[in-house]
Amino acid sequence: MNMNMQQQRKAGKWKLGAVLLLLVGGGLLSCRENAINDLSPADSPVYITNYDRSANFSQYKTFSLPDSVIVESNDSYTADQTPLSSRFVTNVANALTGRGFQRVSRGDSADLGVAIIRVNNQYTGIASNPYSYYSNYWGGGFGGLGGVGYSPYYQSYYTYQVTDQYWEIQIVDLKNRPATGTGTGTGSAPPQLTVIYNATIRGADIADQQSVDNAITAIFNQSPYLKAAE
Amino acid sequence: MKSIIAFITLITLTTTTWAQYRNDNSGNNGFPSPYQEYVTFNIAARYGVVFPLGGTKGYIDNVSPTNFALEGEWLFPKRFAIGIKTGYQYNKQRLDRQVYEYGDQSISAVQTRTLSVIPAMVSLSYYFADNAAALRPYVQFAGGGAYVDYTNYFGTLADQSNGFKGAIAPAIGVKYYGKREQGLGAEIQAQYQNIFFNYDLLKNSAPSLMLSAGISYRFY
Repeated sequence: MNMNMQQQRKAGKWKLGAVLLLLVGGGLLSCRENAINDLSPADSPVYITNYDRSANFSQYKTFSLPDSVIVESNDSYTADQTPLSSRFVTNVANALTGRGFQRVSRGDSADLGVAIIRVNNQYTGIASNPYSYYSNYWGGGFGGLGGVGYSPYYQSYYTYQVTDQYWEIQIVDLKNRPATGTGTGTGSAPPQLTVIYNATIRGADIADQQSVDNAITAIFNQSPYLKAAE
Repeated sequence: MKSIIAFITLITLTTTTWAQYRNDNSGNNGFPSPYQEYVTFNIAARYGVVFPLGGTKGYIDNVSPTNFALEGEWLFPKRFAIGIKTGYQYNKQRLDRQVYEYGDQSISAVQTRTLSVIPAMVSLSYYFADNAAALRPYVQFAGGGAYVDYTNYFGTLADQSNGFKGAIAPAIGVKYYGKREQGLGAEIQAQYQNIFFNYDLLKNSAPSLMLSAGISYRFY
């Protein structure tokens, strides 16, 4: 009897220990979940830039940048002009001008095409062919470019796919674009434009103009190679 | 076991003066302590601070104040013990916005680096005093594994790696119960722990030093 009670007491102690462990462990396990709760809005965004290592940026002098941004939503593309997107366009134009490039009017011939893209994808894994938006974006001066193809120079880029919305800045080389219609014998192969610079703003949605300013400043600060010849 | 008890009883009864001299169970009846005769138990719960070392330091370079250790032991009469130990260790470091180069990409972000560890190990300890003693210094070697969660937040985006990895943890410590045969006591321990985990910024392996203090309870 006495022995039995003692055994029960023992078992009780171990159970108590197990319960305590679960309680304390469970409470502590939530530590990591709270790790970024105190992140300020200015600290949340992530700016990712990449460029074609073979591109010589000093060969370009002019760039074309429309006043609107492209809104990419899954497979469809529309142009959009809001106070926020205008701020983007103004800031990017000013930053590029500050680096010695010259902006041309819409439709005029330019060395670089700059695209500001608002991506609103609702799924992970962007694997569609999202290049038809170049068709008329830089205006009629490149009339023959309808339906151009596009070849990304990078492979590792899609590591940071998330389901949220983000902004993207792309610069393509218009100066060294292949002549239209000179397909490689098949006749149907569209000429390829090369993206030589890419920047994305991830991690937090841009909600106000201050965020736009911060983003563009940071992006150009980490891209010192974006510079026209003196 | 019976013959041992019979032998001890015989010795105790026949050599009374020797037994009185030998037994310091403060006025006890001369029978040996159950701690010296049977397999008994000890459980301990401790709070600790962890100092990152080696590869861990390359990832998170600050002292962690959020650690907890739980240990259960079977005490054998011959001063050694076999035990199991677990717990929870968590460390975090926030770095101001910087540009990191990953391959061809430049990534500007505020990093929040976190490392969570849940060890699951088996330990073997040798005590420099018998199981009923008031003060019990010991050396311990523990081995087994640990669940590791490495999550490095870039802003709000997580770069994560986790898994159950092999780990070893030699330790020294002292248990102090106040007086002989008392159940509840205190314990301090210094433990070197090396987990064979590496990922991105955490190179080679993940060693650390934990200093912990807490309560210890022995019973039978």
